[in-house]
Amino acid sequence: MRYIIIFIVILATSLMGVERQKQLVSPEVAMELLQTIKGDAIALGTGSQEVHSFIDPLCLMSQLYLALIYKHNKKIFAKYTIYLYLHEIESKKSKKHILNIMSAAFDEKALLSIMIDKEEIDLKDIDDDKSNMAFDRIADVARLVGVNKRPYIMINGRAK
Amino acid sequence: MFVLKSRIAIIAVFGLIFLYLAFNVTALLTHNDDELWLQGSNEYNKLLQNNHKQSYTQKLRLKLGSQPFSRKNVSALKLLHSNLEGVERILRISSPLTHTIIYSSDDNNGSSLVGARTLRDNDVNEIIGELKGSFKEFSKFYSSDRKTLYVYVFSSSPVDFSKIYVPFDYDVLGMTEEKNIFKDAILFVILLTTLFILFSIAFRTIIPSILGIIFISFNTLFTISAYQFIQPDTPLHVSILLVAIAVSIMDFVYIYYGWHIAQVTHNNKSAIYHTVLKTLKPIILTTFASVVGIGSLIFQNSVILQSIGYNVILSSLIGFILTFSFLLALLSFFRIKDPYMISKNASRLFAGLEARYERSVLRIFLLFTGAIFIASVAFTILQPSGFTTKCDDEVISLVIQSNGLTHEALRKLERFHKEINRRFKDDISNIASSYAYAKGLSMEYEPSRPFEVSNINLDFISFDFELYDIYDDVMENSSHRLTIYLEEDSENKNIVLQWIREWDIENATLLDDVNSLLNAAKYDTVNHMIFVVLFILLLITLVIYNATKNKAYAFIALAVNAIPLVWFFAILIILQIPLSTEVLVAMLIMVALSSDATIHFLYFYHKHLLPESSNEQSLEVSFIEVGTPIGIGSVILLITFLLLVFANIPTISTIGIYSVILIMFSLLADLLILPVLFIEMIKSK
Repeated sequence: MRYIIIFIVILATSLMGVERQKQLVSPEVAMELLQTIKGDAIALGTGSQEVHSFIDPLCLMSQLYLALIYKHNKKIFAKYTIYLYLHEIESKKSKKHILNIMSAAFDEKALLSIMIDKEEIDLKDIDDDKSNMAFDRIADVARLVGVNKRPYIMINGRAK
Repeated sequence: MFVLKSRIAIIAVFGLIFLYLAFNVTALLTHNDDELWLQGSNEYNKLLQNNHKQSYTQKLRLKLGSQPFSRKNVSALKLLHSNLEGVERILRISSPLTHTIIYSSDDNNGSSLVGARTLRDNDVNEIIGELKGSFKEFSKFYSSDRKTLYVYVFSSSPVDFSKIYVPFDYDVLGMTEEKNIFKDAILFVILLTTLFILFSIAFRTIIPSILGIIFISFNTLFTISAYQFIQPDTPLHVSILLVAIAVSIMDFVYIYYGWHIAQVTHNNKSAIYHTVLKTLKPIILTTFASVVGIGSLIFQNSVILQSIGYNVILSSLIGFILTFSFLLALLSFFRIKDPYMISKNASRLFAGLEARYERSVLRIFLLFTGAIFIASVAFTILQPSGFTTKCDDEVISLVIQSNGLTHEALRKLERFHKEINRRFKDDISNIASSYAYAKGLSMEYEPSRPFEVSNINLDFISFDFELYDIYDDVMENSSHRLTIYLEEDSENKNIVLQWIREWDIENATLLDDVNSLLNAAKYDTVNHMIFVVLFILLLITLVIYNATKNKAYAFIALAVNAIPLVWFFAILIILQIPLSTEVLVAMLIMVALSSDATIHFLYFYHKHLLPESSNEQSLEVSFIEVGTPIGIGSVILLITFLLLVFANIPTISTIGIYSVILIMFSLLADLLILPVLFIEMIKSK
């Protein structure tokens, strides 16, 4: 199934001529791809409009972005549902942090501890398949979509 | 005869009514005319029809001293923000700390963000660095010498800054005058004391002083009560009551003076009869001119103009009834031995001088006045901008109704931005709007792509507005809010306001800050008030023509009332004083007083035209009989209005200044021009 999607993506991309720098796939395809990893995201809010964001816990801009979301959380969470996909920037070496957050019993709390409170937490070596597979799935979709920065924010299949 | 027979009953009835009203009147005078101006005005009605509330904008001017970016100043600004944020009615604050800066940040290592930020949460050193480093971004908040900082406070009701700790030397623009019974009391004490002293000096007896105070007190209370009965929900502005009283004071002076000098040749009863005979017809004519002329204001939409109209009608009619019943009844109890005639010698002197007038000088004066009139009209037509109500606050807040954050709405805002910036390029320092922020953010997202509204991603803009806390500043439900900041030395705000109102052909723009609404309301009434002034001039001319059936009398009436206005207009233009509501209220006072004087003078000349008497004799008699009460009445009003200049109530003080100038002009025209025109155009023929 994954290879069929990848084939469709490449075909659609070449036919539609989407701007390569910003987004490699059409909004429709991006939406389909994001649907496949929604379950791996940390979802915030209950609003009707979906905002998909690829973030790195150690990226300062991602931290600022998350802080802003929480600063105005009442309004934002009522209007939007924010899906946060933890996706490593290679140079940040944050995979361990991401896996720790993903495997935590309260992933949102762990996320806040690292990104906003910037607490020094005791990082564990995570071996569980569930977290590792989620990490890979997000990385695959990010590669297909063309995620080139963090935070990488998408609404209705379009990147900012 | 009826009055004399029933004098005790008349006094008793009026006295009881006075006491009843004095204990039952609940109407409060107000110095804050904002509500009166807003009610019935076009822009305010539009706001109400759209269920939109007005807001208040106050501009704090904070003195910074020679080091504007010192730690002390920045810390004080942060403290001020904390203090203001605790005030519930404050909706938003615009200052260097809340000014939104759009930025793009990229560490070239995979992290980048386009965002918007303020300095509100930064520490003092960061704020100082930002203010110094990016001063241009914040320059709209500083005076050109950087010694004054401007903070704009937007609130749901006026904020009393004296109750908030402001850690700067400061003043506030956009403050409204509150109700103040103490000030009202002082004002009327000044008025009555002045009248008491001046009447005593003019007549060398305290009888007119006592009667004058009683007459004015009765007329004032009856007018207030009658107005409260007709308009129970509308407060009465103190300046309007002054206009009404000023109109009725003259009736008292004419009656009293007539009775006073009649004492020389008549006994008490026949003096009253003689006075009524002489003054009844002209007082009916002057009352008619005031009631119909100024009273025509009741047909205007503006509540404040209606208020002036009703009060002048009530005061004139009540004054007329009191004059020919209550006042005569009171006078019948007094007798003056050897009445003092203040102007006996002066009348002879003036009559002698004026009777020998130079025809050529008169013609030059009239031609010169005509030329000034044409020049004033030409200037007003060519430069209407110099002739509007001035206002010194520099923010315009408005809402453009639309269907939300759409490309169509943003295109409309783009057109507005371009056109207003083109028209007022040097006058507007900044416009905060959804379009401005959307443009700023979009250009940061894609700096290489030329900006077009159709390329704006509305989903992102809407999300960013929430994320960066911009939404509430620029959107109100589905409408777009614009805040226009004008330069301190900008063209008159009213011209910008008028441009905005005319720009909106779809009628979807709502001005919603009270200062702008007030300016628009006042601007709209300027034309109405000019019309009423011209209408009164026409009315006086017609009244005189009807009374005399002589075109020459009618022309003199028109000329004598128009000349002071022409000269006053010329002074306004030369001194670049804008035409304000205070100027127009003063003009109404002057025209009302001047029409009284003109009607009395011309009616006297018409009834006592004796071709066989010399010019000098004719003028002397007219000065003694009519000129003197006109002079006494005008001087009393002049000094009263002059004292009002020092009353420390801005509206009243301004009306006072203009009234003093106009009454002086009017007095000169009545005493110098009118008699000479009478000899030139009537007696000599």
